[in-house]
Amino acid sequence: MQLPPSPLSKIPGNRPRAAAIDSRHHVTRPFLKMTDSELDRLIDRSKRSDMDAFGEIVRHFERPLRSWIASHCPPGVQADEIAQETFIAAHRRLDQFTTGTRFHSWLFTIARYQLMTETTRRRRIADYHTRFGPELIDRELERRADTRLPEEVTDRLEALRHCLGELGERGRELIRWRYDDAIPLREMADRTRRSEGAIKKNLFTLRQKLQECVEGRLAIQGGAA
Amino acid sequence: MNKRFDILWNDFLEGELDAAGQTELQQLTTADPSLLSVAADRYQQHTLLGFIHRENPDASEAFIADTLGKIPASGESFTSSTISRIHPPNIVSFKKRFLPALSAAAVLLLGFILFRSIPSSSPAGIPTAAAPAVAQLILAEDCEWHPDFLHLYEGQSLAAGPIALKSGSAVLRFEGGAELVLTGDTRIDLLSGNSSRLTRGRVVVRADNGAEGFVLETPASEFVDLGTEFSVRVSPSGSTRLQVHEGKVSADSKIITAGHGLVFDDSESKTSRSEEVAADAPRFQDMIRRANPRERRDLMLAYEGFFMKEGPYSATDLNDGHGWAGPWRERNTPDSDQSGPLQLAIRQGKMNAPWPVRGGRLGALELPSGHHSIMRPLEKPIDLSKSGNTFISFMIADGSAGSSAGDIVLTLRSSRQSDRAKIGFGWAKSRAPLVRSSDGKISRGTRHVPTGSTIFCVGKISRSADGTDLIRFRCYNPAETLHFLEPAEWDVDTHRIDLGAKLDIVEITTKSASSICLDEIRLGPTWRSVVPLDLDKFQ
Repeated sequence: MQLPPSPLSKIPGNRPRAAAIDSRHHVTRPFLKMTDSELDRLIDRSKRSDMDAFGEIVRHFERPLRSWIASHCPPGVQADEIAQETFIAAHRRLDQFTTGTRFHSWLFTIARYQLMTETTRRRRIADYHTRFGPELIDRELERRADTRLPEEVTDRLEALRHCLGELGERGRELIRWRYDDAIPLREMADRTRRSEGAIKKNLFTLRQKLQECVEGRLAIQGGAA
Repeated sequence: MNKRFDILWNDFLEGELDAAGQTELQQLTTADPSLLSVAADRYQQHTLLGFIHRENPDASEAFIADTLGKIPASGESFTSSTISRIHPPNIVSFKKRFLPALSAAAVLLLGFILFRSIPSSSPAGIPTAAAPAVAQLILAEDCEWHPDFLHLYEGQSLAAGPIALKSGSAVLRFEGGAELVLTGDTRIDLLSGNSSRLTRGRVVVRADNGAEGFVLETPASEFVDLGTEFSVRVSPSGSTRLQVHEGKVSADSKIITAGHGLVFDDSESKTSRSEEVAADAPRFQDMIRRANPRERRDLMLAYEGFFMKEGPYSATDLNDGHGWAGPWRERNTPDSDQSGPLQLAIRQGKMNAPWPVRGGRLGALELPSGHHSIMRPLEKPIDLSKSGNTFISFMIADGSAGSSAGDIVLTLRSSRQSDRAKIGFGWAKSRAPLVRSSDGKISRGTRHVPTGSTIFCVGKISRSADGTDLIRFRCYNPAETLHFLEPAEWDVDTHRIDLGAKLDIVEITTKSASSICLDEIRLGPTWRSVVPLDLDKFQ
C-alpha cells in the first residue's frame, strides 16, 4: 500500500519550523505540517481499518498531544498513558467524526476528557494530595486545560527549546543532568564540588532565566502576529 | 516575589517538600492567588523541560508502535489470532485431526469454545482481574446474569468488556466517577473509566462532582454527559430513547437540557426527534429504590455483638457471636503492661450510635486504660491468595471530647506466621485513620477521628488474581450517613504487594489513658454484609 507523499516536500511554502538546537539534542524533529486534505484522506482510510493511515495520524499528532498533556498533567498522573488512551479512544470513535471538520479540536477534546477522568480518579484517593502535592495546582492546571489552546503549548515548547540553546554550557549541562540523566542533587554536588544547596539554587536561577526568556519570545511572537 | 514561596516551590519540584512544607505552600497559595499562577507556570515549564529532554525519534516511534499495538484488532483477524493463541497439547492434536474438515464458521465457534475452556484465561470479552479496572460493581440486587457471561459479584472490580444482565438491578461506578444503574435485560460494554456502550436495555447515568464527560455510546448515537443525570433505553429493534433528568447532555450535535429527550426510531437512520420528558420519569434514585436494596447480614462470615449482661468478664468468658473458632483470649506482648488476668467488662448504653445498629445499647466490650491486646480465631480464614473482597466493620468509643485519646488498631493476622502477615485498621495518637501491614508500611488518611464520639469503621481488602491487594479504610463520625453503596472516597486507599497468607485471627490492640469501648465486629464479602443500612435516610 502506497503511503501519501511526504508533507514536507510536496506542499509549497510549507517549510518546517527550525528547532532550537542543543548540541546533544541533534535528534529534535521539526513539527511536521500536514494539509487538511492530507489529513482528511488519512482519516477516511483509517475509517476503513487502514492501520498504516492511522499510524500516520498518530505520528502527526504525537508530539503536540503528548506535550500538551504533559504540561497539564497534575503530579502523579502518567502523561504518556493518557496520550495513548486518547489515541485509542479516537480510533474507536472514528466513525463518529465527520471528515472535513476540525480533527485537531476533536482529538484534544478527547484528550481533555481522558485527563479529566484520570485526574478525578486520582483525586478520589483520600491521601493523594499528601503524596502528590497541593490540590490548588491541580485545579489551576485543569482550568488551563479548559481555557488555553493546544497551540499555546506548542509555541511554548519551541520557545523553551530556543531558550535552552541560549543558556551557557554549564547551565545546559546542569539542566541536562536534572532532566535527561535524572542525576540526584547529591551527585551533581559531588561532580561540581559544590553544596547541594548551591546546586538547588542554581537550578532555580536557571529555571527563572528560562521562564523570562520564554515569556519574552512569546511576547515578541504575539506582537508580530 | 515571595521568597518563602520560591523556596517551597523549588523544594516541591525537586521532590524534597515535606508534609509541613506542603501545608505551608497550600496556605501561601490560598492567601495569595497570584502565587498559584506562578506555581502553575513553573510547574508547566518543569514538565516541558522533562518532555524536551526525553524526546527523541526512537522514543516517539516506540510510543507510536505501542499505541497502535493496543488498538483492538479488526473482526476479520479474530479467528486467526484466537486460534494462534491456543497451544495446549491436547488442543493441538484435536486441531490436527479435525481442523481441515471444518467450515470457517465452525472454526470461529471452535476458537470461541476452546478459548473459553482454558481455565487460566478468561472467556472471550469477559472482564479479567489482570487487566486494569475501569469500573466496580457496587450493587447487585437479585441479579441474574446472562448464562453466556460470567456471574459477577457485588464489589467486583471490572476491566473493559461486556456486562449482560438478565434480571435484577446493578450499579456500576466507573473509575472516572460516573455511576450507572442497569436493570432487567440489559447488555453494556465497558470501554474505559469514562465510557461505555449500551447495546440493549435501559440504564440511568449520574455524573457530577468532576465525573462530567462520561460517554455512553448506543447503536444510534453517542451521548456525552455534561454534568447531569440521564437515562437511555435501547430496544431490541435498535430504537433509542434518551431522557435528560438533570443538567445537560450532548447528543446528535445538539445540547439536550433537563426535561427534554431524543428518540431515534432505529439505529440506521441516525435522525432523531425531540420529546418532552415526563416529570415522574424514573431517575437514578428511583431505580435503586425499586431494587429495594437491603442489608446482607446473611452473608456475614463472622459477627461479634457482645450481647451479654453488664459486668466484669475475663477474655475467655466472651464466647458469643458466630463465625469464630473459639473465645477471646489475651495476648501478652512485651509491650503490654498487664500483670495478672486482664479485667474486661461489658457495658450498656456507652455508645451513642445514630446508625441502625444495636451497638452499645445491648452491650459493648470495655477495655481498661493501659496497653492491652486480645484476639479471637476465625472459623473461616481470609485467603489472600484468592481473588475477592473482604470487608470488616467495627464501632469504637474512646475518650471524652478534647481528651488525649490513645491508639486502637483492629488487626487481621495469620496464626501461622506470628507477627508477619497482618493488616491493621485503626488510629494512633494523631487520630488520623491508618492502615498498617506486615511489610511495615503505614498509610494514613488526612482526616482526623474526633474524640468523645462513637466511630463506625469499615475496612476493605480487595485481592486480585495478579497478586496486588488493595486495602481501604474509612471512619464515619455520628454526623455521617452510612449509604448502602460503597463510598467513592476512602480515608485510606493503598496498594500492597500480595501478602499471600491466610488471615485467621482478629486482634484488638489498645493503648490509652482511658478505657475504650468496642462493639459490632462484622466480617463479610460485601459492603452490605457488614454495614447497617437505614434506607429511610437513603439519598
